[in-house]
This record gives sequence, C-alpha cells and structure tokens, in this order.
Amino acid sequence: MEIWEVNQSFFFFNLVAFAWWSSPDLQLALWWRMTLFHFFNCAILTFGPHAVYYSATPLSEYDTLGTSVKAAVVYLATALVKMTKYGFQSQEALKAMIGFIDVAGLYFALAQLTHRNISQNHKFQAVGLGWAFADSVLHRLAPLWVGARGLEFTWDYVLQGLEANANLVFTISLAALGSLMWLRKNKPKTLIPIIYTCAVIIATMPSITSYLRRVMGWHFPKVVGFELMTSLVMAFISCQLFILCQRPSL
Amino acid sequence: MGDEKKSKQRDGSMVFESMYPLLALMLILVACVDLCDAATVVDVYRLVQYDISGVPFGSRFSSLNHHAASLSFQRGADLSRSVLILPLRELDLGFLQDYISQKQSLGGLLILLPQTLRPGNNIVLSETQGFRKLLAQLENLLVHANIPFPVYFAFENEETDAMLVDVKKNDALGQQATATTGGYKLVISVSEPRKIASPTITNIQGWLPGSRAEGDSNQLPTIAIVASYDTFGAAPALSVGSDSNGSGVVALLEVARLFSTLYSNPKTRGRYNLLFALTSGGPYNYEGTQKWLKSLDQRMRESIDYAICLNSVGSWDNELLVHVSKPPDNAYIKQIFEGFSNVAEDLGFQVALKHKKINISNSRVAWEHEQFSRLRVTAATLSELSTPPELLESAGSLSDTRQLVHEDAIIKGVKLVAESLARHIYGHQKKDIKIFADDSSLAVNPFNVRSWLDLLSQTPRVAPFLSKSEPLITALKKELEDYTAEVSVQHESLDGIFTFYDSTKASLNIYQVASVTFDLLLLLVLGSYLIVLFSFLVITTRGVDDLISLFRRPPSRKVKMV
Repeated sequence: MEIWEVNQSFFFFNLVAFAWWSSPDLQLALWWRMTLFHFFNCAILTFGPHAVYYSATPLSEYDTLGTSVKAAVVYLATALVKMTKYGFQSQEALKAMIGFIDVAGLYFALAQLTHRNISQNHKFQAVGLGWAFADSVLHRLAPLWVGARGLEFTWDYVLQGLEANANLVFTISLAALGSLMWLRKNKPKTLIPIIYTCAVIIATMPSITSYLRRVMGWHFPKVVGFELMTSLVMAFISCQLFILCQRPSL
Repeated sequence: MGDEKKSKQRDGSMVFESMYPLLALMLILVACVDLCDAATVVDVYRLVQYDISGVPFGSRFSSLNHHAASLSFQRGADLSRSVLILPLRELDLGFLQDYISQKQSLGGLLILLPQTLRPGNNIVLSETQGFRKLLAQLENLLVHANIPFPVYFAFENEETDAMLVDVKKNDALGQQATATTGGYKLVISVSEPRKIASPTITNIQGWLPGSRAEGDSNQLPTIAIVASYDTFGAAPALSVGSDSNGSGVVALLEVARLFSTLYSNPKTRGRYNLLFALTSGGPYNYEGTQKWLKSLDQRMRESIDYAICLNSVGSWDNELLVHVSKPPDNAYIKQIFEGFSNVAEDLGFQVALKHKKINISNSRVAWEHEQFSRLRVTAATLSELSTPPELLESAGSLSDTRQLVHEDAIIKGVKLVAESLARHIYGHQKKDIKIFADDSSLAVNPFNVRSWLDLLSQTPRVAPFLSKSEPLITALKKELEDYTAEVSVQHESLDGIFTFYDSTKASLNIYQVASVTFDLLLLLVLGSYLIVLFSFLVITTRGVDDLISLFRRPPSRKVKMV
C-alpha cells in the first residue's frame, strides 16, 4: 500500500471514530469495541515495526522472506532448548547459559543455514528480523491478547510494545555483529575486540535488564527507557563497525 | 557432505514444522480464555427487596455496569448512567430523599460504611454514635421506598478511598465520567433477582419437665420463655441484630442452662414444666410465634401459667420495661410484676410496667406477648425498648452491631428472669434469697454469654434466607438439647403478605478505564511513529529519491492508463 493510501484510510478512520465519539447513544455500543481498540494499538506497536522494516528496506525487493522464516524457526527451537534447560540448571549458571544458547542459535541461523544468493548486507537483516519477530510473538502476543482486552487500563502493554521495538534493534545489531564475526574473513585487527565486546553486551542484555529490575529495583518504564537508549547506541556502533569493515573488501 | 547437511536440515525443519500446529493450538486456546481481571474487587451487600401484598419495596435491580460518580457532580448533570458513590460521612439525606421521591433515574447507588460497623469488628469508637442515627434514618428511607435502581452497601477501604478521591477530582473539573472521558467503571455481574419461592421459618422448642409428686394426676403448670432469633434490616447479608434480638437469644440460652442444672437433680426439680422457644418470623408480626402456638397441643397451651418474651435486653443501664397487654390490675400481671420488681430491687435496678391494649382489627403485632394474649395465654415482654417498634423497625438494622451490646446488661437480665422464675417455682416469692448467686455453682457464666453473643453478632439471620439445615439453627438446636429433655424443630412456611427476593451479596469489580480520546490519540501517535520509521528506513537504505518516487506513483499510473 502506498503512503498516500495509508494516509487516506487513516484519515477516514479518524473521521468515522470522531462521528461515533460525538454521539452519546452509541457510546454504550462502543464499550466492548474499546477493549479491542487498546489491544489493536498495542499490537501495531509491537509488531508494526517488523512489517515496516521489511517493506521499507530493500529486503522486500529481494524476497528474503524465506530467510526470515527460517530464522524464526531457529529461534523457536532455541526457545524450546532453553525451556528444557530450566529444570536442570541453577540460577546463576542459567543466565549465562541462556545468553550462550541465544548466540549459538543465531550462529546456526546465520552461518549454517544455506540461503539463496543474498548479499551479506541483507542476510543479517533478514535473519535479525525473523528472529526478533519470533521473539515478540512468543513472549508478547499471548499476554497482549489476554491482558490488553480487559476493561482495566494499564500502561504495561504499551511499554511491552516499546520493549519489542528495542529488541528488534538489538537483534538486528547482534545479527550484524554476528555476520561480521562469522561470515567475514578479513577484518581490521583493531576492530575485532570492539566487535566481540559489543556482541557480548547485546547478548547479555536480558540478564542485565533482569538484574536492574530485581536487584536495583527499577520499575518497568525506567527499564524500557534504558533498553531503548542502549539499543540506539548499539545500533549506531554496529552500523559504524559494519561500514568500517566493508571498506577493505571493496 | 552437502547431502548429509541437506538431510539433517530436512529432519531439523520437519521437527520445527511439526511444532507450528502445537504452538498455534496453544495460542488459540489462550485466545479463547477471556480473563477479565479488575484491579479492585470489593464485597458489596445489596439493599433488601421485598413486596408487602404485592406492593414493591426496596431496590428492584441487582446488576450494575456504569461509571462512578460522586456528590461533587455538576448540577443538572445526567446521572442515569452513573453509579453514585456516597460515603456515610457525607450523606445528604435530603438530596437522596428528593432523588427517590421525584423518581429520578440513577444508574446505581453505592453507600460506603465505616469499617467499624463491619460484623466481627469489635473496636468501640465513640465517633460511631453520630453515624448510628444517620444510618437509622437512611435505612428507614431506603427500606420503605420503591427504588428502581440497584443499591449496594460496602465497607470503606484504601482502594475505595483512592477511587473516590479520583472521582471527586474529575467531577469537580466538570468532566463527567462517560465513555469519552475515562474514569472508573463499576461492574457487578449477577443475574436478576428472583422471588424466593416458599421461605421457611423454623421454630425450635425445648421442653424441661418438672417433677410430678406421687399420686398427682393433674398436669403440671408450665412457664414459657420465648425469644425470636431472626432479624430484618436494610442489608440482609449484614443484618446481624446483636441487640435485636441476639441479646434475647443469649439470655434465653443462659436461663435454660441455669434451670437445666437445677432440674438435673431430682431433689431440686421444681413443680413447674419449663418450655423454652426460639421463634422465627419476629419482624413479620411474629408470624412464627403464632404458628408455633397454634401447633402446640391444646392441653399444653392451657397448662401455660404465663410466658416471658425477651426482646432486646442488651443495651440498657438502669431500667428494664415489662410490656403487657392485659390491664395492670389483673391478678396474674400483678404477681409477675411484683416478682420482677422484688428481684430488681435486690439486684440494684428498676423495672417499670407498660400497658398496651391489643387492637384486634389491626393486624400489626408489635410485641411477641400479644400473640400469646390473642390465644388467651398470660404473657409479658421484657425489653429495654419503651415504645413498640414499627413494622420492620428495630429488628437488626445496620447499626445494630456487637459494640452496641453490653454483656453486663444481658447478665443482669438473665439474673432477673432466673431469680424471679425460681422464686415463683419454689414458692420463695417474699423471701430474700439469692439462688443464682455469683460465686455459686449456679452462677451466670459470662463466657457463655460472650461467646454466643459474638457468634450471633457475626451471623446474619434474615429468615427467608435461612435454609432448613442452616448451621445456626443446628447449633441452637444442639444447645437446647444439652439443656432440655426434649427438643423439637418446627418448619413452617412464611406465607402472608411478605414476599422476598434473593441476591443479597455480590462482588463489585472496579476498573480504571481509559477514554476513547486516549485510545484515538495513541493510535495517532503510533501511526505517525510507523510512518516516520518507514520514511527513515526508506531514506537510509534506498535513498531520498525512492521516498519521493513513492509519492509520485499515482499520477504516473493515471498517465499510463490514459
């Protein structure tokens, strides 16, 4: 759908909603509809960016949907592995294991799966996108469906959507760094430690946030704000690293 | 090696693919569960709903689904889709009276009572005195009006206080809570109230036979002690009636215990039978007492010398009243009253005699003894009340809680009844004897009094809502079985002019809802965010030219069609 079409339908919807809103008799009929409205809002916040990313970047032109789907499947497999690991490990070792399993899964998706001839540039984006989308669906769709439709209003689901956005940026940055680590053979020596440290930071992000929440007692909005900031910083750094690493191969 | 990899991949992807339907099923199942969790759930108690000869009274509806409003609303605002929240402290009785009498529509009424009035809360606070009078007036207004919207009572807690502060703030700003402005939504989802088909009243009687002398073929005379144990109030689920008539029941049980001790020894068994009766249907013109009397054997009824009815003996200080319907110069009445006043003098308080003639044509039975008098049995009611209560009044109102009753008052009443009975039975009327002395084995047991009083003060006892096998009835029966020789339970149906409706207790869900404006605003913000994100990504990955070309496509397409 083109931009202007989107804008037109948006405007039309707003007009209808305004007409509805101003008539008090229909307000009662609005009520059960309203419970779905909030769910719809949070859903587009959580899953919209993935669709927008796919359609805005050249990914849609090169038909990388298959890659994304495969990456999503690998994510689900790692999630299953993580779930089975819960019973056997203790708390501290568990956190480290989770990060390692995530990285291992991402490595598998990036390096081991064969894709059609897609440039490295698009490969990591597609993998990151599929991975992040699967993560959002698994962790955020069910709570959203169950909770956001209730009458009681909370900011939780909007914050969760923002977290999904941060997660998308994180995953794409991690995929970029991953592709740098495993798929690019000749890298400038000075940059290698930076690449690895950034990757480690991003991979351990879940444990960092849970530490902040439990030990430091940060509330959810603060944590989400921190995640958003860090994701932007990390995205910028990974972008720069990627560009710097691209030069020698030219 | 490529084949190996490919087969491994195929197996792997097959496993992944088989997981998909499982996950999809899980998501669908989760989707079917429509959990509606409110942040706050409060227990609420509904106003009574009843008919007298078909004329409706009380609150006629039970389910509620409206926004909350407070008294600070703007004048002239439409409250037909709001629930008015009234704390007892801020009650404006005149306003409510106008609202009800002018039959203005209201979505619902929620009255918040202070925690101290909660049954089971024994904190004595002097500030509750002012509330009791206001509460009595409120109950009087609500019980005798026909109210076409749901009325509920609830106890204040932190959550309701917080909600009320918020609602008042919103109302003061002039933003009446509707779908457009958000606020609090109160939901009580119960089915519509139904008539209670055939409410039963249960009378429990205990028979303690006296000792018959050898060769004495005549029937022994009987003395009856009666108290009605059921209540009626504005909120049937809160109608515990500690004073009216929990105190009477406790006094009766204690007198029964004392005489059972006396009568257990054949040497001290008196020449009178004792009949203890706990009757139901008290607030409804003592219908239970009437039915019980009519069910008694004629000979038994004729053998009753006199009956003492106990009604509200828990909160008096110096004077207890003896109400009679026979004229005071009647010989029997004189005898009974003299017996009482002698004992009272010894115990240090006064009794006074009050005479009220029975009007046969009037169906209103104000005192229990009137039911006896109508069947020509001498009877008197011992009570702290000086005026006869009106219909459905003083029968267990919201303010009649445990704090209103003093155990000492009940104990003094027990001593009065027991001593005067004993002096009559054993023929010691004129003598200065204390049979139930304080440190004897026949002393009144204050712990017994206290424990029964506490139990009754936590048990609502409105007769139509008591089933035949109600735990309280079983407990009372068991207690009388311990003290008397023969106990019988009589179940009757409460016919006559009263009809009751169920649904007395419910759970109120309080939701904090966002307005439509907020949702629309959020949608706008999100839409703009996604558009900005889209443009940013197009610019950074494909260049600005691509973005502009997206806008230029429609005209070029039109040109192509032409």
